[in-house]
Amino acid sequence: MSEINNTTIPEIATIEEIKDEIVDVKTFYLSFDERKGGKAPQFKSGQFVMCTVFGAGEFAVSLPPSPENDRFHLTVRKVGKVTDALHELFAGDKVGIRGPFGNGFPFDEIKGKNVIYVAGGIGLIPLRSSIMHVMQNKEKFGRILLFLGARTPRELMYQYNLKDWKTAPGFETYITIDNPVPGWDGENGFVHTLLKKVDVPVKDTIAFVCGPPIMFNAVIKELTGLGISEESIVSTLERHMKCGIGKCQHCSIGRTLVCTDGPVYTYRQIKTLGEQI
Amino acid sequence: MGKKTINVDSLGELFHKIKSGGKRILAPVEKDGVILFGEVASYPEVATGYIQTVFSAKEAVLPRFEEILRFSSEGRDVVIEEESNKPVPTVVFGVRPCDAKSLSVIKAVFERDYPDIFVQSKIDSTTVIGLSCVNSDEYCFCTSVGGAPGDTAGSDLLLTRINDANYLAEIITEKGESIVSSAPELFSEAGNVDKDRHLAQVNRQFDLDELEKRLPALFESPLWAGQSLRCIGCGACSFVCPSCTCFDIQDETDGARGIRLRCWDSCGFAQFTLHTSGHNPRGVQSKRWRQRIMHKFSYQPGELGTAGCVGCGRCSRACPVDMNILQHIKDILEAR
Repeated sequence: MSEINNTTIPEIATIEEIKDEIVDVKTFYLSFDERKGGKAPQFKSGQFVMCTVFGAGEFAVSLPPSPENDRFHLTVRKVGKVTDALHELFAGDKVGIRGPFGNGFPFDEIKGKNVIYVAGGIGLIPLRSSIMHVMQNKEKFGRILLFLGARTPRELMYQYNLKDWKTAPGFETYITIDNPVPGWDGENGFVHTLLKKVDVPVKDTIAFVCGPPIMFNAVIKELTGLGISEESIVSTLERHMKCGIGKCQHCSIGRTLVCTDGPVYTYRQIKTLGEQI
Repeated sequence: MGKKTINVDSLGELFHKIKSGGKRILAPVEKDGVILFGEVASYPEVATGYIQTVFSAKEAVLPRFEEILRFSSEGRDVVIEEESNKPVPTVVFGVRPCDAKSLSVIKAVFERDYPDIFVQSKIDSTTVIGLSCVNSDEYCFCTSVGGAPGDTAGSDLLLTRINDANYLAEIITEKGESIVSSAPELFSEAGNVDKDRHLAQVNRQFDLDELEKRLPALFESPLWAGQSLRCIGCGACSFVCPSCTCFDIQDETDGARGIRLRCWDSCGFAQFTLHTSGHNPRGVQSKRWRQRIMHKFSYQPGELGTAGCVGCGRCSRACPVDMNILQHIKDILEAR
């Protein structure tokens, strides 16, 4: 295991800035009070931290792109007691961070391959860290494709990144909105339908999938139908978590603990877990 | 490490020596007609004549509530105080061999990946004086899960009543040795003692390895729904279980000050896996019952090298709707 010493006691961080993303989703930029330059501990894309809102509790949340290239931030949807409390905070307020925990997305192992990202709604939050990591090293990869679905144009995450990605050479972006709405002249339908419309690479391809269960199942069916193997499909699993360090058992699925063995699994692994979604 | 005998009448003096050495003693005591582990000042307080305490000795290393940190805010600043986590040196007296064995399950769970200082430090500062079983009841099944009424595993010193006047004292570890050497005058050399003759007879009722082998194929079996139809999800089975370790973490605050608590939890509770979105991967009781059995008899043997059950029978005794784990296991083994 990595040499982290905040497994139980959170490190205190100050909220420096809060950015509204989409409805009920905000990004919190943090500076670590006790670390040089406020910099975050080292982490890999696909790992997560436990974030404390003092007095309200703690929740698991995926991490941003790497600490070298970006200010440390967490993008959080307001969805329950603790995240509601976080959304009530202002710049200058304190939070606690434990971690990073978990295995993270594969990177070195997938060099030379085509990379497909399929995200539904806020499923883009965890995938963005891998996207940015791969984009920064895009000469080491084949085709890079992003398929993104959202309910409405207003619910498209990270529009400022999307703008850049759409024009980035060597990066193919395909976006769909569930139903036609005025002012949207792009694709309509669920994200898995996009996969039929594009010449998707199959050989030497790795696919990252993140989104709600119903979307996940539809996308998996499409990808495996195209001939992408189960071990070349990667996703992150979500579970109610408490300790983050493999003790409390809240995130157990079969023999695996999502906090220490995951949260990143291949579809081949996910299939064998039982009660996986 | 050696076998001694100690006279029943000398236990009072042994307790006195242990206490004057600065250790607290936890032992089975009777309170309102119920036998529970509690702190005792002297030997006569210790209960006798029971088969099994209602709760196990696990509280000595995994308390039902435990503060893991305190925090306070001043203006917008937050200060965290770590719990000092200096456990009181403790001797737990009268631990049944099944309960002593469960401590190794707890240890294995809390050692995995990241060592947990709270449990580890308590295990390190606890000495277990086991007490072999001379009686058992229909709920006991230690011998089916690799234990025995006189099993030494997990005890530092194991006492077995060998006649009206004496206990055989088997020294298992250095901690046990230090108990004996703190009062050597109370112990005599044991001659040839046929310990087994004095133990309860607990017949083996199922094959643990066979159960582990069978379970994966039964994941989608309808038997889980059948067995758990009457389960009310109260979690009593987990709370009395000596090897259940699942816990919850909760923050409590009065505004300016707060504490973070770790407390017992149960995979039998509907909220155990409830996502904040409302999605629940174990949304029905049959899935939670399946998890309980699978975890103890399939996942833990694979992951930790030990089953998560020691055959104490407490879950069956405590269940308000009479779910009997022994019967359920037998039914699982007969399922096709």
